Amino acid sequence: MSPLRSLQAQFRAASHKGAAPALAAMVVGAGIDPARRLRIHHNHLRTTLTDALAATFPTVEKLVGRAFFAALARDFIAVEPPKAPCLFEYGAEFPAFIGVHRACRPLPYLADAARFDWLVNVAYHAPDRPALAPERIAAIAPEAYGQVVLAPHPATGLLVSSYPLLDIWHVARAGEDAPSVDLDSGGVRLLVHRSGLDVAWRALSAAEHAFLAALVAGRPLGMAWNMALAIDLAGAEAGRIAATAFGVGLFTEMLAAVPSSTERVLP
Amino acid sequence: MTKLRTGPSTAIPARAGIGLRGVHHEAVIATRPSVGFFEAHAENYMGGGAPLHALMTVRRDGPVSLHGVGLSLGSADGLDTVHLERLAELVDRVEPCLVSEHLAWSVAGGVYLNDLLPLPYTEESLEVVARNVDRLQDRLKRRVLMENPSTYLRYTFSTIGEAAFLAALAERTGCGLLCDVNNLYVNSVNHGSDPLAALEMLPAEAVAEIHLAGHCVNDADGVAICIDDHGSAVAPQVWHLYDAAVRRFPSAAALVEWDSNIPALEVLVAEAHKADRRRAAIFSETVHVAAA
Repeated sequence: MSPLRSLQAQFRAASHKGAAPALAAMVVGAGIDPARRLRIHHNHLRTTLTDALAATFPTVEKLVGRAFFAALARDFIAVEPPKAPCLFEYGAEFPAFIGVHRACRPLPYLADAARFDWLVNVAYHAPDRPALAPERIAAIAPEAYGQVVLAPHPATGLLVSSYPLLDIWHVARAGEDAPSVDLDSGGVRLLVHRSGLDVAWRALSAAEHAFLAALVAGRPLGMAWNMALAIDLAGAEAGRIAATAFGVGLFTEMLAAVPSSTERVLP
Repeated sequence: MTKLRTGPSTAIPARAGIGLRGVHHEAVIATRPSVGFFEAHAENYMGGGAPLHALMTVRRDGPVSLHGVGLSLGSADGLDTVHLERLAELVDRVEPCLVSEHLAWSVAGGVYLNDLLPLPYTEESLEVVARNVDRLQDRLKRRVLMENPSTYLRYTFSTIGEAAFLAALAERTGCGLLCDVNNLYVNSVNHGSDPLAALEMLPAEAVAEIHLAGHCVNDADGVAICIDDHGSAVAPQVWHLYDAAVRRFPSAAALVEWDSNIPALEVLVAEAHKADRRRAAIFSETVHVAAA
C-alpha cells in the first residue's frame, strides 16, 4: 500500500476509535504531544457531525436536550460515519438507530420524531422539479388508470406514527412553556412536502394515506384507488383524496400511461 | 507541462467579497450590500429548494465564487466521481467568477471525515494531488484555485515545504492558488514557520485570491495552538500579512470568511470594506513611490 493511502486509512480508523500509536508516530510533536495534535481533528470531526445532526434533527435535540443528543450522536457517528461530503444529507439512518438504541427505550416516540425531522430536511433540500399539472391527471381516460404510474417529487414524504407527532412537535417548539402531551391520544399519518420554497405538512385520513402510499411506492393509479376504496368504501372522500394527491405538487411525471386496460376502476 | 485553462466569467472582482452564509441569505437579498462578490461553500448548495434559490438570486445581482470543501483533492483513492459531477453541475448553473478548493483530504475508503485534513508533503502526495486537480480542471473546463491549508500537525516524513509544494502543483497542473493569510499566520504559530517567507515562495502569477478570517488560540499542554475557526474579526497580525499579500499579488481578489459565531451582515461587510481601504492605501503608496 502506498504511504499516503496507508496514512489516510489509519487516520480514518483513528478518527472514530481514538488512540492510534502508529499514526501518532508519524506526527511531529514539537512541544505538543502528537496524540494531542491528532485529537484536535478527532474532536473537530465529532463537533462538525454532531452540529450537522442537530441541524437536521431539531425536534429530537429539543426533546432530549443537548447533552443526551450529543451522546446519541457520538454513538451514531461511530457506526454510521458519512459516506458523502454534503452534511445536509447526513443522518438518513439516525431514526432507525434511535429506534434500537438502549438509552432511547423510555422514549418510544423519539424515532418517529426523528423520521419527521428527516422528511422535513429532505423536503427542504430536495432538488427542484416541475410538478405534474392536475389537468394532466384529469385528462387521463378512466380506462387507463390501471396503467398510470406517477413519479413522486423528491420532496414528497409519508410517515405513520402511533404517537401524536404533531402535538409532540409543538411541545418541542414551545420549550419550557410547552403544554403536556397525552402520548396515548392516538397516532397520526403525515404527508410532508414542499410548498414553494417552504416545507409543509398535514395529517392524512387513512384513505388519503393508503392512496398516496401506494402511488409513492410505484403502484398504478387504479390500484392506489382500490387501496383507498378498501377504506373509504362509499368513495365519499374521492374529491378530498384527489385534491391532496394532485393539488399540491406531490408528483412530477407520469411514467407509464398505456391506455390498454379494460379494467374500470373509477366511477 | 503547464496547462492554462480559462472558463466563462473569470474576471476577478476588484473589490473584496464576503462568505455567503445561510443565516445571511435574507439580509443579502434584501439589502444587496456593496461588496465585490459573494463566496459560497459549494457543498451547501448541492440540493435544491430555498438554499439554491437564494444563491441563484444573489448570483443574478453580482458575481459569486464557489469554494469547495468536500472534493478531497488529496485523497490517494482519487476523486469521488459522484461528487465531482455534482460540483460540475453547480458550476454550470452558477457560472462563478472563481472556483476554489483546498490542499487537503477528507475521505478514505469511502468514509468522509468532513474536515480539511493535512497531507504529508512528499513526491507521492504531489503526484496524487496533481492527478486529482488535473481531473477536476478537465471536468470543469476551467482553472481552479487551490488554497493553502491551516494545519495543527506536520508529518515526520514530509520532504517538501508547503509553499514549494503549492508552487510545484501550480506548475504541473496550471491551477491557480488561493493564498489564505490567516492560514499562513495560524501555521506560523502552530509550527514556528515564517509566514512572510511562505508568502514570498508562492508563485505571484498563480495567486488569484486572498482569504482573510479570524482564528482563536487554545492551550494545548501549556503550549499555544492556533485554531482556524473563522469565528471572529480578522486579527491585526493577519491584516499585516494581508498588506504584504496585496503588494505581492496586486490583482488577486480578497475575501473575508466568517463561518462560526456568525455576526450581523453589516459586521462582515465592514471587514470587506476595511480590506478595500487597506488595499487602496497600498496602491496609492505604490503610485506615490513610482512617481517619486
